[in-house]
Amino acid sequence: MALRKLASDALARGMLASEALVGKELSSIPKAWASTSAAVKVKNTKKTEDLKDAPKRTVFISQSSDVFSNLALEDWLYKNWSFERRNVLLLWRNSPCVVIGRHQNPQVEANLSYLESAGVPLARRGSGGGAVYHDHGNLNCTFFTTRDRYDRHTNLEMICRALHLDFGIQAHPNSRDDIILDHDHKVSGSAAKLGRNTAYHHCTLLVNTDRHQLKLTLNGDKSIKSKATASTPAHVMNLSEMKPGITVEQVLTSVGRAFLGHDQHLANGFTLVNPTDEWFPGLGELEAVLRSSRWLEGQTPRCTVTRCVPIPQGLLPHASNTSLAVTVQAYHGLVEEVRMEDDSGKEGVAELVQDIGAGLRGAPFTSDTFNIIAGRLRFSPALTHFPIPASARPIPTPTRSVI
Amino acid sequence: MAGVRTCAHFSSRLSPHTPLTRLRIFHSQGGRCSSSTTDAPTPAHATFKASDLQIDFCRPEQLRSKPPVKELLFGKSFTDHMLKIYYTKDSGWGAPRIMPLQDLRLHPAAKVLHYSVELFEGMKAFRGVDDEIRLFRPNMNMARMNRTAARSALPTFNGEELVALLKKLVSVDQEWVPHTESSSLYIRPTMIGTEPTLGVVRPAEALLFVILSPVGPYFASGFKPVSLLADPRYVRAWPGGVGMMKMGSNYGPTLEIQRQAEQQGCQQVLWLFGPEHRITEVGAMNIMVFLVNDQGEKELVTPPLDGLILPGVTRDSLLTLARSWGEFRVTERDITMGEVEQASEEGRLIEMFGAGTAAVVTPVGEIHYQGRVIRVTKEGQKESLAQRFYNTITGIQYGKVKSDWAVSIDS
Repeated sequence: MALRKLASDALARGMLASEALVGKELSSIPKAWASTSAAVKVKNTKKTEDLKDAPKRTVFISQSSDVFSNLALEDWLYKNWSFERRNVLLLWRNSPCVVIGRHQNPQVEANLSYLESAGVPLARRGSGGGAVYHDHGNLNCTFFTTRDRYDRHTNLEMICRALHLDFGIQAHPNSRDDIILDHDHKVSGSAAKLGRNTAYHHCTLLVNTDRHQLKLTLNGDKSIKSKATASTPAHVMNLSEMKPGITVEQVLTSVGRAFLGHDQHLANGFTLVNPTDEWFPGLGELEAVLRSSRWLEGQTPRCTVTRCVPIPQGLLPHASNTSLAVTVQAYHGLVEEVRMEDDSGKEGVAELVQDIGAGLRGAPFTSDTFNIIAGRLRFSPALTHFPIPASARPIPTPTRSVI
Repeated sequence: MAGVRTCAHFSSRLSPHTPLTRLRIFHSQGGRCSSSTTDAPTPAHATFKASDLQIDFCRPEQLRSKPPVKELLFGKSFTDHMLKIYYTKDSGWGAPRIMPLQDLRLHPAAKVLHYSVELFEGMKAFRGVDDEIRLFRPNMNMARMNRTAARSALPTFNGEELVALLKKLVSVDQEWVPHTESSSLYIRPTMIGTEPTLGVVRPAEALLFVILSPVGPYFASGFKPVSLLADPRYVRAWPGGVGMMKMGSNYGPTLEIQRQAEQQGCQQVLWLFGPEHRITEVGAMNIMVFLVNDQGEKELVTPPLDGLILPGVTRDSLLTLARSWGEFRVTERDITMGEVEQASEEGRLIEMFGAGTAAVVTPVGEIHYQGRVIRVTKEGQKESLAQRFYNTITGIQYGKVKSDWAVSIDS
């Protein structure tokens, strides 16, 4: 019953040749796309004139699976093109990588040591939003339009319609612009960049991603506090769990065709793009920026991390203390300040910690920073042996604000 | 892609009389199929219509990867789609189709294979500095194509309809042009006689198709002058012949002579005609000579359109430009090797260059003629005429300068 309804919908939309209706499972994309244009032949009428100003639609498919090249291509199109007369859907896939949002903190979002050991690169994109894991089982869709034609919801609705029509998958966008399957499982997340004239909305689509690797890579350090954009954890799901055997190629074709629509005056078909500097002069520079540590680490918003640092015995008057809660404040990936969490009654040590902070100021804030602090504490002379006259004790600098 | 289409649209337009064999060969044809005994198609089908266009876009897996830009050599790589329009005497022109680039299926007796019943055109689309894509004077190519078709016993059509179709085809494959300056898309419309009979008569069936080839950027600064071989034994065209038509049969016989020229260290052939050794064309381009004539005035000379010469679009553009400048005499007249050689000896020969779509202008450095080498140079030239022509024409083509000659594909 459902099959018949789906098929008749599809026929009405001109997407199937009539013979495909008879007892066949909609298990693959119908090949008779020619019927699309045949079913909706646009005559030379007033309708054509109205459509004259409507933007043409093209689907770009990136030839590259390098996340930096693809992000650079996205950036190049955003910066260099006018989308007045055309809407472009860029479809791309990456080799395994983690992509964090513009205002996120890499250490918070990703398990950096795991990434290094697994050879999975980390990239920071230009749009806001949360962290995602990409691999060949994930399809990225970027919708480019003029600023005033920007419409996230329509894009997501279109994707859901395509999934329904071609695969019988029931998915819908929620209020957060995630695409949800099976009540609460997320198969897609969105982010966007809005400029003065141009805008893009991009989203992921989990077809058959390695969910185990996804979990391992996105297992960041949540003890870090800041005003950086936090990722919203969600139950994710692959489309392949709902429809076994579905491939990224099939989803790509399905989403692309839905985007192109039926009006052949407006549709400009699919085309491959080669994201290199030769084909897109200036792309090389954009890619270099995306790969630079200045962008990757240097965009990290101000944050604080508090850890218990082991201290040598005897450093504090009461020998029972074996660790110290130390807070490091970092900005743009560099150490700004180091202080004790609770310095009451420990002025001498607090100063010491601040001195260590002064020495570390401007140094990159890495996973090693706390070890360095511990090391410097270990090799300092025990303050208890040198009482300092009250009048000479400096007033502790009142810096308790987090940001 | 072969085989009978069964989509509803197609089957409703076939009559029960259409033999099955015709179906297999002309599977894309959507024309009227009633039997008719008239020789010429009825006026309603005297041309195809762009509004009848049907498009089969490539599926993603059919698309071809884009190579590094330096591998985009002229005529070696092609885009993803092509245009095809079938014609039969009985039904006239069919519906134009844009489809994935694919091989043609021809019966071994197809007339094109036996009597060279073929014509072609050469034109370009340019990605401008404003990112608009433009065709250069396409109506001239259409007019020439129709003249050649009439002379070739092939069907004619409304050129404006084909220009509209070309605009759509170029639009679909526009990403095959790199976003650098000086890249372009070479457009090759072609028409062949396909009727599968051996009679030496006008073909009753024909096919018009268009393919596109991306051309990567090449460096215009510092043209490298070419050397020519001028051998009067070889004649490209003759009075009463078809030298003024862009037929494939004019070019096939030149290939061997071209090879001989290269063997002798020359890059192109200078085609001579007649006992006085008139110069006619160079390679597959028109020839222009810039000299100081007998009256001591600067003159741009090119052979007239007397039947031996292909009426090149670039040739016409350069003549029109030069006339509009009004700085020197511009004459379409015969010019012989004798005149060129004497001008060279007397230091009056300023420049010689070929004019064509591929490179706009190709400067000539020397001519190998009857055992002698004629040098084509004049000292003290600040900017050559060839370079000035090149800058002006490309300025128009790439949208740096507004002109009616450059037609946007979105218009």
